[in-house]
Amino acid sequence: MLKVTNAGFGYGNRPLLFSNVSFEVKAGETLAILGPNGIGKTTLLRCIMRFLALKEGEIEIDGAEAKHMDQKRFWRDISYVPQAKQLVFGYPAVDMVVMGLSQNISIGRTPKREDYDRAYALLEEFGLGSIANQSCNTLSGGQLQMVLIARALIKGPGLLIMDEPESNLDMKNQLIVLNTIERLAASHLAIVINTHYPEHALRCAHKTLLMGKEGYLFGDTRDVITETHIRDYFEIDSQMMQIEKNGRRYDSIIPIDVR
Amino acid sequence: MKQKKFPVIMALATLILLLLVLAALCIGRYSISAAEVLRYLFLGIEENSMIKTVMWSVRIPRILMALIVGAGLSVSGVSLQAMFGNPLVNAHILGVSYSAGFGAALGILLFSHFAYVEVLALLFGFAGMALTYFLSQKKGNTGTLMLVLSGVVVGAVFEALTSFIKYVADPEEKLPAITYWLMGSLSGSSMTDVFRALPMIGVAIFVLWLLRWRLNVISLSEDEAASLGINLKWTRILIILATTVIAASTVALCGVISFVGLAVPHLTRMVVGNDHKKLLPLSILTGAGYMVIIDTAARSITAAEIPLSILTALIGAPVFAMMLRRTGGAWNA
Repeated sequence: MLKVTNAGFGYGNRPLLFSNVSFEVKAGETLAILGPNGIGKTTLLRCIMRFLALKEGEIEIDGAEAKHMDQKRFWRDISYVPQAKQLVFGYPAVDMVVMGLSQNISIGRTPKREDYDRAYALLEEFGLGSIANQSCNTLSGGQLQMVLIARALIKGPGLLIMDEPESNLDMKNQLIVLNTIERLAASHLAIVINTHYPEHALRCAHKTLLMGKEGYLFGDTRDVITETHIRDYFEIDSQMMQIEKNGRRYDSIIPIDVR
Repeated sequence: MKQKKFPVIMALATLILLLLVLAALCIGRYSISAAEVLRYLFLGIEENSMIKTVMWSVRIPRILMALIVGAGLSVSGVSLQAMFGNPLVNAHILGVSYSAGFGAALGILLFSHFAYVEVLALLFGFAGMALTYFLSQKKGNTGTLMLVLSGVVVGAVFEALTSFIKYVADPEEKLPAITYWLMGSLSGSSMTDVFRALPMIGVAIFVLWLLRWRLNVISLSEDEAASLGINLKWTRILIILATTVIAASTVALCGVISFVGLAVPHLTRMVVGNDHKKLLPLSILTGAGYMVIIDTAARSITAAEIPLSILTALIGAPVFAMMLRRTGGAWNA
């Protein structure tokens, strides 16, 4: 679904933030992008979405070069979920979800009844039916994040790009978001998420891209997230623990000290 | 947010607007009863010859201009607030009103015929917009922050130039005319003005009305809006062009009218919320109605005309403040 080859980017004439980054995400797979602050995780996401132009390398979407794709074609298959934050104008949740269909709403038109029906159904599926007509600014952070995910899903994309979707949420809402990600990947979506929590990657990501100053690691999440790599990339000593519950393995990383 | 049906709100607003227009036709130094007005308009019966004169030489053109200009300023306030994602933005944010105001002042200073004033106001209005736009261009992409800053710069320069013109203008004749123009008035409006304003402002309002759904999308953060598949650059250019047409032709035909583009959108938000597919159509009606009230007050409170910008603020600000206190501001609720 998404293939990035030898990607490199730097702002202006400054040295490249990252270079030679290659990875691939297939349908049904989740990729977590991890790394310390300022390493270029969000920048990489913005490059994938063409908000920034790569200095080196290329991006392929479904085998076609992204660079030459026209705007409409590009966004038909890709959805972006930003971090939930207070909006300037509080639109009703259902309108927010319908905005995910804007691409198909030509100039002079407004969303049709079917569009609203789809949005209501999607919110219902997410357990948000009761707040569908509430202003987004009266929702909790967790509810708003789910509304934004619903907005990204309504057009039926093949690739979902999420920028720290769980970072400002409480534990329950973090779990709701992580479970949703797992469920979506199981329904054959390709997902890229940017996160600060290696544990979240271990929980829901098949593949992990770990970015650091000296380079990057890409591979199966369990091979990438190890105590050694955490020491090298995050400069902390930590210990990993696992428990088994109901036949499933859960991982925890306990930070010990800054190196 | 009120859960009333939107068509009902629109119908009510239209009815209120019609009543306001009827009241405005009656009120004035020569007062005419509503029955006389209706008999004249619908049956063509003139009770006396004064009615026809008062109606066609003063009231009808003025009211029509007020409707057009009020609707235009209010809609352009709504659109710019959406584009900049900021409820505090007013119709002067791009500096267009200041540059058009400078054009008008220059016209009054140099020429005695008002046709030149109009042409220069339009010309400088567009020049100001172009300047703002090109200043904000950085490597082909226009961030809204750069647009605001450029608008402030262009506005400041033209304001200073206007002050300079006032400073050198003949204080007996030209200076009062310039000052008066810069405070806005519909007193000289004729049917010719109406026919000049209608196509320009009407088309601009229509364009913004076409964009009403996109205004919701464009009010989100830049990356978000782009990811929802709308063409940010062209949507912005359309909004800038349409609001410039409104601002420049308003200044050209009736001077600088402030506050409408800020207050009316907010009063309207308090009724239908922020969804632009409702907010924009309703703000056409509320803007038009507000302007009719203001202009009727301007010509009838005292024997002399009161400039519009004085009244838009003096009447508008207290109403606005009261509503804000009552609702706590409706834009983010």
